[in-house]
Amino acid sequence: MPDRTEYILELEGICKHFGNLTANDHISFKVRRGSVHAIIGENGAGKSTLMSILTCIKKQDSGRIIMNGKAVDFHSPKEASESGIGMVYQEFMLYKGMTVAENIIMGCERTDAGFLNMKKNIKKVEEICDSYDFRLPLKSRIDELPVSVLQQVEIVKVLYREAQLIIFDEPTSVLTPQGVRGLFKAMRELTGKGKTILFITHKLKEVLEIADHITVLKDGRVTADMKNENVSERELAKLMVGREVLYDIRRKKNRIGREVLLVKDLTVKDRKGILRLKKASFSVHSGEIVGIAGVAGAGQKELGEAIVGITRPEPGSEILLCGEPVGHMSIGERRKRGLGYVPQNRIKDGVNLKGSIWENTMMGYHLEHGRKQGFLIDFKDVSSFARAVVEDYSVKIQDISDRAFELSGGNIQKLIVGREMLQGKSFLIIEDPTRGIDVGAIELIRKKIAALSESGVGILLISHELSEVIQLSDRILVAYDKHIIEPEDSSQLTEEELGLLMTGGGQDENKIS
Amino acid sequence: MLRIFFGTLTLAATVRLATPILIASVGSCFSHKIGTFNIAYECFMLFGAFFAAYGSWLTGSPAVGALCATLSGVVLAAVFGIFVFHLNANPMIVSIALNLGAWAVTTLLLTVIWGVRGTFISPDIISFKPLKLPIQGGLAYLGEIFGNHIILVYIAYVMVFVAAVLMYRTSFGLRIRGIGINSIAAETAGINVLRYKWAALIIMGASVGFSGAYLSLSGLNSFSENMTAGRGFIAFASTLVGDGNPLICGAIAVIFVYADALTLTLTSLGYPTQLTKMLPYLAVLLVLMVGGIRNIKNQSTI
Repeated sequence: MPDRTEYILELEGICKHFGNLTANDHISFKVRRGSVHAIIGENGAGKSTLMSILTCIKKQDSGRIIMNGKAVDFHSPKEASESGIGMVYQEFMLYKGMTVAENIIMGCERTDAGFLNMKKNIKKVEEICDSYDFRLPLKSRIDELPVSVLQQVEIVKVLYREAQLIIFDEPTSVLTPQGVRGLFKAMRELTGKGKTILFITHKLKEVLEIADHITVLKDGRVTADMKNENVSERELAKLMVGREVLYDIRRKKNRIGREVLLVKDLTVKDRKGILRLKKASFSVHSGEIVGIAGVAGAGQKELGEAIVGITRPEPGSEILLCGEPVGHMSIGERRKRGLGYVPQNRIKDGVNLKGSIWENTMMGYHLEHGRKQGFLIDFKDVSSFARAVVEDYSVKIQDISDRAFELSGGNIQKLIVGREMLQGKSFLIIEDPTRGIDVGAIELIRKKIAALSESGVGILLISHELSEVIQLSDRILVAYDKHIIEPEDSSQLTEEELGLLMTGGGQDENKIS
Repeated sequence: MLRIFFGTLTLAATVRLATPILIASVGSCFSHKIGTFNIAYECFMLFGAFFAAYGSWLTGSPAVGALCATLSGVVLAAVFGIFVFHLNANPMIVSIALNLGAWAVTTLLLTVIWGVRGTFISPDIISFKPLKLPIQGGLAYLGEIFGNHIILVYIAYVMVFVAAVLMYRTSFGLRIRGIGINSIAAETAGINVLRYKWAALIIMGASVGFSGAYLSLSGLNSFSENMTAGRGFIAFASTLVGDGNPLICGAIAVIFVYADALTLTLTSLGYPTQLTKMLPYLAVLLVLMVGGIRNIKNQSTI
């Protein structure tokens, strides 16, 4: 770099709106050259949006980006990359079936009159690997390599493009503890050689370990911007997740009944074969709400999917619904045995947007009701069920033949929650029931959940909203790093304590079953 | 038996008849690898055949005819590209519309320009002349197979290797393959994905159009309605089975055509056509089965 300003990057008043949603609200901070600068915040705090503005995948509505002391205005991701911003994506940007070397040089190949000179390319990549102490099998296909190596490929890819500022987007979420140590060593190596690192994460322990400077984002705003000196995990957790409890729904202790769900040694791998959940064991009783708190990717999503039957758990795992093993059953069979499910992604997994209201309420309900002679739709039954859902959950519609896409997010959510709750199930999995919906709908749904458990239904509540988990749950389990752990006196935990547990701090992990 | 399978008659026919399939299949490797779904092969090829005949008829030069064929392919590919890349039309529907439309339009042009129905044969459509390659002596067997063909035949085989080099030895090919595997990654790597998709599509259009020139300018001096008769789809199958690798696609194309050529030989020897006509299809099934077994073995999990 010709001019060595103290700050490699300065952001001034970056704003970005998506419709009514403000993703970034006047974000300003400075990144010191040669430092590890952590940006922390919950999901939806605006981290990803900010990064896509930096890499010019999205354009800010207002605000300035200043690099090396000069205001820059990128028009394409290529320009951002040429000016020295490189990004290591959470979802690796790799090409299956190609070699490591090809993956690295893609887009910036060295050629002789258009012909690839692989020797030259590989030599250049080797030089980079040597100087930063990476050992990569350049000629292997990437399909054969473990995730930690793939991440190194991504890093070398960015270095090959001569990036000065390297953004790591949740880099440790896919890594093992050993992999994390390797990554941190590499990060130190990089900053030692003058590169600057933006480290996006929500794992506080890691931030305290590696970062020089910490910027906290919450609801699209910078809520704290400080040096990593004399900061405790507790303070960070409060800054990041702590918030006022909006509605206080008083819950009286229900009478706890029989066991409706028992999970034993549940181990789940995702489609890529990465271990997502390891030997989780717990139970849910009728009349009980068991909350699961955890940062995204801690295994709670896979837990829900495995119980519902969307993914097959690894051998040795046991799932019992009302005392009956259901591990081998299809989703439909599990539903018939009393399982209800409110998926996290309501648009993708919860509704058929092009379908009408009654068609949507009928989904799942049709397994046991709403049919004549086994296969004809019983319109009377189906529409009365649809009207019941709409009325009980005050879904705002004109008519039950309206299409689902005409509804707002909150109304769609009420529709799904109502559909699952009104079927007289004995056990419900509810994921993020109030994510991204308006205040009124949140209140209604929370009240309904509380009322449902009073009526003797067992509920597993998987939510990223800590206040919600604390408010509603009789017991709270914490998902952290592929494990489901049950803290002592979980119903007495504060948000700060829970936030600490979710990010791997706090209580001694040995005590946990 | 040996005479039938390896006789010069069968093999020379294979070498000759493989030409249009090879050109079309190898050219469309690029659009296949980049991930553009396009099955308008019949359309591009049929128009190619028509304009090759027309160009040759107008100017008396088969080379000009072949050029016209290529250009018609490029124009049709551009039509496809505008619909699919810019207007977000469903590529399947556009392909089918082009394929069916091509039959109608070329038949219409046949009546409008030459005032005939079905087939137009004329000495004014000048075909390419066969080249006598000087292969003699002990190699007479090879000479009979490879020696006496028109220039397009040799171009087809050269194209296979040129395409392979372009695909695997240049940054152009690397990017095409990269985009096909992960276009978002390519975008973030600063590659102009749309430009490469257009380039690949134009290569495909030009090649498939050019391949049509063989049909009308290989000695028949004619153009007839629906002259391609499924050859476009055979080329499409070759590209799919070879998964866009020009060398494998070329080999597959030759296998398909070999079965076709075998049909000709067997029929001329008096075998019942009902049986021999099955051969090309059996070959396709066999190749697909072998390919399928290979895929089962290679099922990777990443």
